[in-house]
Amino acid sequence: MVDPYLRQSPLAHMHLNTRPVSTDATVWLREEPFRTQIVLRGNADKKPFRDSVESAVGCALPREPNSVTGPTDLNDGTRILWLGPDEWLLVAPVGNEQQLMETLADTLTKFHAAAVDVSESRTVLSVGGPSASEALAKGCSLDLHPRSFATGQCAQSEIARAHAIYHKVGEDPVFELYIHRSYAEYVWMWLEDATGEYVPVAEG
Amino acid sequence: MTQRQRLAKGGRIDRTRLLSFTFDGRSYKGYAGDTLASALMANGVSVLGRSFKYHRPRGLFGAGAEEPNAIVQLEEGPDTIPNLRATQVELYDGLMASSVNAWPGLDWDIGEINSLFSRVLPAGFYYKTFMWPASFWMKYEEVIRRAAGLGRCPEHPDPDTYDKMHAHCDVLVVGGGPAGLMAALTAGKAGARVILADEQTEFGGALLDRRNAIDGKPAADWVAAAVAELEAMEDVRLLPRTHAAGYYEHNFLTLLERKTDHLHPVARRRTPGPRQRLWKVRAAQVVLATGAIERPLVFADNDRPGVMLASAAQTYVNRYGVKPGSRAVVFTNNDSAYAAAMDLHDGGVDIAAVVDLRENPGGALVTEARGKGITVLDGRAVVATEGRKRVQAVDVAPLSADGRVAEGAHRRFECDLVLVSGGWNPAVHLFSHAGGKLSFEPDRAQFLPGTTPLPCRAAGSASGDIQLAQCLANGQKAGEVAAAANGFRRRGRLPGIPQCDDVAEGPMRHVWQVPGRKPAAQLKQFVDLQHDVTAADVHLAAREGYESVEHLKRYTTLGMGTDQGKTANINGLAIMAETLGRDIPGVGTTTFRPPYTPVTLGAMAGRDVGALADPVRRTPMHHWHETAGALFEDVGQWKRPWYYPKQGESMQDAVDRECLATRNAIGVLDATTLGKIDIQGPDAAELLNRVYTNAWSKLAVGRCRYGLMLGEDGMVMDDGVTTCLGENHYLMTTTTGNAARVMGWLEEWLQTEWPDLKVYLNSVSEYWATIAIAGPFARELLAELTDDIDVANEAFPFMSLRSGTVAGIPARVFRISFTGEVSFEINVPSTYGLAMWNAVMMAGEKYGITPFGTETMHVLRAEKGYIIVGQDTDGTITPGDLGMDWIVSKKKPDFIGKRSLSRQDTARSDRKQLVGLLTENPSEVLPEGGQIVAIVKDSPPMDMIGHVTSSYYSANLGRSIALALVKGGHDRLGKSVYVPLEGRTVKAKVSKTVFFDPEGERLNG
Amino acid sequence: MLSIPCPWCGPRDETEYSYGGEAHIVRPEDPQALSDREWADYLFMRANTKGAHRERWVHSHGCRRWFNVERNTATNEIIAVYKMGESPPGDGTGGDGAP
Repeated sequence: MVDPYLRQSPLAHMHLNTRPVSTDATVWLREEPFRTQIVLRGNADKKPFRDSVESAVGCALPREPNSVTGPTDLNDGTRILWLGPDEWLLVAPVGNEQQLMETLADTLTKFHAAAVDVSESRTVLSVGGPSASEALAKGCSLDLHPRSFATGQCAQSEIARAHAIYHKVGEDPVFELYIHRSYAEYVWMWLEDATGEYVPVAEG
Repeated sequence: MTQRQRLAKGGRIDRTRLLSFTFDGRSYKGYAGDTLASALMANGVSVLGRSFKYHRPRGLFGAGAEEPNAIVQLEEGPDTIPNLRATQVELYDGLMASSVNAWPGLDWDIGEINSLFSRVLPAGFYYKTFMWPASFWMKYEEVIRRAAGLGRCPEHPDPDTYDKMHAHCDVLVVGGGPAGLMAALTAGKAGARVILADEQTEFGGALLDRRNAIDGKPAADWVAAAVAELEAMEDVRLLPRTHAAGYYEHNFLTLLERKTDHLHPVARRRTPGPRQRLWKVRAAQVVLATGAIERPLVFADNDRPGVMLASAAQTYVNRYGVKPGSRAVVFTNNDSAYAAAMDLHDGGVDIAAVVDLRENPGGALVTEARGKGITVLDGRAVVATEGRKRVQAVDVAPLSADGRVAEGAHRRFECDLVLVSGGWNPAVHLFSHAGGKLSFEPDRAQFLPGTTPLPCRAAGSASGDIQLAQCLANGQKAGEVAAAANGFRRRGRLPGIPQCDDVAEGPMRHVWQVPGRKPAAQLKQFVDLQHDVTAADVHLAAREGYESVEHLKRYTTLGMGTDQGKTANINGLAIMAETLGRDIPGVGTTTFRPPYTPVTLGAMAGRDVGALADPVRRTPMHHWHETAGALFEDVGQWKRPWYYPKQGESMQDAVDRECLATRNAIGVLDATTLGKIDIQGPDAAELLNRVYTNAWSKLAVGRCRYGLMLGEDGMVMDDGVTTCLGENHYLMTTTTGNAARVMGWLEEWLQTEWPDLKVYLNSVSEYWATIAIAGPFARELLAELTDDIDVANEAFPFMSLRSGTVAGIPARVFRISFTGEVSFEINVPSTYGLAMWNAVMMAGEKYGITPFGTETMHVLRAEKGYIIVGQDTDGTITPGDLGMDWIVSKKKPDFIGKRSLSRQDTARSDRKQLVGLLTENPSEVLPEGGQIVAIVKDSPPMDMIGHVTSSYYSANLGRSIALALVKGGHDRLGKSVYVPLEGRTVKAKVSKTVFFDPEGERLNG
Repeated sequence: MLSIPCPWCGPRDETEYSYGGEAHIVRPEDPQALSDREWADYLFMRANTKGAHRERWVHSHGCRRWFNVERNTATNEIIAVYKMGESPPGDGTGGDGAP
């Protein structure tokens, strides 16, 4: 086992958890580092493949574009995000990548399929609060209105000028943005700048 | 100064809030709710600017976006903004404005001398006058620009923040007048998501400017109730102070919201949020309720301060409680000016007469005006105006039946105000932006919205309806249809159409160019006030053959000012049509292009400024490099350490040190940025065979191979090392800058051409942090850091992969080299990148480990003659040109680009080929990009045979080295070439591309 | 800013896509058997149509799928969208193929 203290999230140097949090803010930002993420590729038209993945992972492969299957609370198991007609992102709590990869390896031998651990490739930035959709709209061309982007839905698009996977996890609303780690600091700085007007500055 | 033109009561201004401001250094007072224009008018300031070409004094002409004259510079220093329309600048306390185009001042203007020479400043003046000699143009331009320029650019960084926001809606309503409000209310009540934008501070549009009654009450009451109702709807967004700038394909519109422009710069900076926001709206349906702009009449000396649009004067009286003058002559060809005349009359302005071009106008408004005792002179025209800084009198004469002559009993009226009305132009600009076709309505001479491919409809006076009741009704209809198109049916009843009294209007009479007392060529009958284009200029353009509307525009600059000819275009077209004996549509209409009114560069940039100007990609070790004092080089979006200067070191010093340390001890490079693609599937090797020039079928597990990738045109596209990770499983590396491109390229082939290949590609570029150690001690250092990898030369040969644990972290170690030294690339999961880097630095200290950047990497690889795709190649270079035929398989039947290598042009022997260059003087470093010649002449042009692609001083060799692409270079080995530079010529000898360790002994040691 | 309907993800802004040029240009079975002229025709020559044009796009910031679009190059009207491997609807002139 590797010493976990050696692990550094892409935003570790910013010491985000030591910063004061404004309780009056209508948008909040948070990094959720180290989340287990595995890209799965395969032919969803083949029922045996779908069934095998479902029995191995515990939740069905989403076939509807931009939809998500799995538990509402990530601690209850693995989620699967639709990324493309033959591409999914399996998401699980921190530290599950090895076990998941082993499970998948056993399952996938029978199929033309691929599972690739990408836990290190992206970090997750949570953006929540009553003004979250409006703040994100400054750099996101998706329609984030509840009529078009329901809770539990996902989509790949951009935030500012970086690629992002959006997953709406709460009605409040709360969005999780999966951001490539090399862009994480740029996106964080951009979000801080864009959400400034929703975070009242303390007088004095 | 007192507000001597301010009425005692009335207007939508707040008389309890007195505001101070300055214009051209003089102090004035106004009220909250004023625009800069209305406040200046209240203070009796008549001259607000000078005209563009003749520098004639100009005053307020309009009251809104159409204003051609009152162009001002707002504020100073970093806050300054040029070319704002005073009619759209909201007054705030402490506002500071100045006139543009009036150096040294409004009262005494040296440019006015141009007026005396106006006979030599006709249309096309620039084109005709300064043709020769060409070298003098720069001088001419300098002088002309100083005299003619509009406004000054800020010279300091903008202190404010700007914002952009995407928005989506079912119905976007542009314009919040009666039609727009009705449309928004109707669509909103049906449940549609609605955005209502209006350029003014308040919603209401023309209702704020007139004295209409709706449902028996002042129209403003109805507006207030409608706005309150809209505000209460959850999915309706109201955007006041927001103008639609552009309307683009697929119902995409840009809106500029001026959030805090109405605040003093100091107050603005205390207000959270951006100064301006550029909205990028994708609307399922659009309702254009943009209103109409009054059309002026073209008559002699129609530009004197005090001549203004009738509707504008009406706005000043009704909305701002200001008297535009004391005694007015109204000059019209239609009924609407009578309403203005009566409002001014009621406001205490003496109406000397209404001069009506029509014989016996019979509309209800005419009758009503007569009833108020207003003199109506029908069948007559204003043929001249007098006055210098302000109109003092007009001359009125009877008009002939054909409208071409105005002679007979002249009457002179003293006045300080001339209200003009030539009818109304629907504001079809946005409709036209989006490719909508306009149709012409001859009675009112209006271009109306016709057909459009987009889900868009016009409502209100933008669609040609002038009467208020019509506007309300078709606003409601537009809202209903737009909502229904999205599936929103009205729930319950539609909002009732409010009652209002409309009066029947009489027909108009079009006299496009009102005759004067002299021939037109001797008159100044302005068509475009801002650009000083006269009717005579239009005639001249016609005479000289510039008949098409686009030529007319460019030749005369009609409609090309900052106002985009909002009051000028139709009159210009009509005069051209008359001159050519055609009808107006026969001449055409100009295609309006975005923006409707200007958009600041700040809003277009939004948040993409300063540190956020461009996305930055950082490696896990980025902040270590920063702390170590590295300077960075941009490679794609990445920041890569360039070199690490120590105290007092120049760049060359640092690079020399890094180069020597790597060759003599050990260097370490952050190589994280290379692209990495995971390739899996039974056809993985087949894919590699098809996209690389060399053969891949026999690569053993754990072995690496260098590959060259071509475009289908046979030109080198990328290179990199690919490793076999397991059965049907490969890891491909790409150059840093091409990572996304190569991934996209492979996907394209797989998805579009070879869907039968069973291969999955996944990018793992971001997964791995890569630390390359190179140099004589690299093996010893690696051995020290790992227990489970045998690092011996035989056990871990060049071009192979070993997995294990390095410094306690699971790692893949590749023995590959871009420096020519023994080198290992240690790959660890990126969150461990910094930990691994620290471990390497700590353990390497005793070997004198030296971090090196891209510059040293470039020098070291150039010493070895290794190419960099994109530096030594440029998309026109084949493997053969690089002397790399050895990597092109002769056995494979096909691969991408193979066929092109035998094309006639690619097979030429005199192509540019990569060679080394050694300068005669070993300390001379050639500039990259330097042009190469075989024969030097005294002066250019010389026959250029190539250029330098890479050039460095090599500390290891103690001399300069360069790579170059030279025509037929492979046959020039040992020959001399020359690089002519500024003031001298450098002689160099063509050499092989490998300068150091040609046998590769160090690499395999 | 075009709005392009991805066959999987639905309408998205143009910035999420990359353009791939004219569609239905098939790579020759055996390029080596072609004359220089024939090869150049495949490599360089495009119809450059004004009007209805079948072209390829990839949803690069979305699902990364290539697909075909029939677009009027003069008005940017999107006439049809269909997946790789599917036959194009209509007759390629912007109409529906009906006489």
